[in-house]
Amino acid sequence: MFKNSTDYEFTQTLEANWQVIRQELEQINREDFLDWPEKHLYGKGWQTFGLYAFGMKLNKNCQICPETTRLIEKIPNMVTAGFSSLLPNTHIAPHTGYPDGVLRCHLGLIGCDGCSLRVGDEVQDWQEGKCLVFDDTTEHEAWNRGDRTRVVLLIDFKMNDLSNDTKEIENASKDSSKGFWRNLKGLLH
Amino acid sequence: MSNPDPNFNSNNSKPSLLVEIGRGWEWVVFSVKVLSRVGGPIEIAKTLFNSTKILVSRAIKQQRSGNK
Repeated sequence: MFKNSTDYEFTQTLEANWQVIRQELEQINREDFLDWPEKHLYGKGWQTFGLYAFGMKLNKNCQICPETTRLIEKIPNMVTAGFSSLLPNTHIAPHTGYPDGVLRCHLGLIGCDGCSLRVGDEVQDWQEGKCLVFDDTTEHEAWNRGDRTRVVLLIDFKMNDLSNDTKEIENASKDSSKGFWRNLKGLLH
Repeated sequence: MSNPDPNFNSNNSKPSLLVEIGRGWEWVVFSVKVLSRVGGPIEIAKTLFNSTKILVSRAIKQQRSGNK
């Protein structure tokens, strides 16, 4: 499911600085992008340029994008960050993300026209300079039907929003006791 | 905009062991390329450990969902 991006304060900082991030993106050599390893999901046309991989800083890449690195390092509980590019006519098949309770943020940077993301039952289009936040563990897929390569800044961050979690528990407990326990169990996983 | 491939179902068939090994190998190749952008041996060791942990967790989760 998609989340309300304004619930996450850092998205406003990213959106305010999206053109700086795009300028740094445009300085990266095409050859420094790597094919994403899950080729069975897309065939060809999906590449990434990592800045942080599961908490590990990719120093050489970060040196190429100092301002972007400075911005992402301020994001609470950030575990992975980098640029994700999708060539025209590429379709990433439905898949689910990693089971460690992260949310994913995409900041649209280049070539968003004709590109969409489905998460669960909902489809949204990327927009340049705007963030989408979604639950990576919900089945999702993406496609580029435009005529330009789409690039987003991708950030994974651990869910640590106590206020939202508390609200979900309270809502569930109002519905039924079973709902409460199911929700609590989900939060603990 | 609609789903471009509404008939696609990633769970239609379970991949063979050989296919899984091939997919695992793609991760190894990717990890080695990523490691070249990291730095020294300690950082590399940490990265390998974290990647293995994540892959094992994911494999267990997918195995469980496949058995439902």
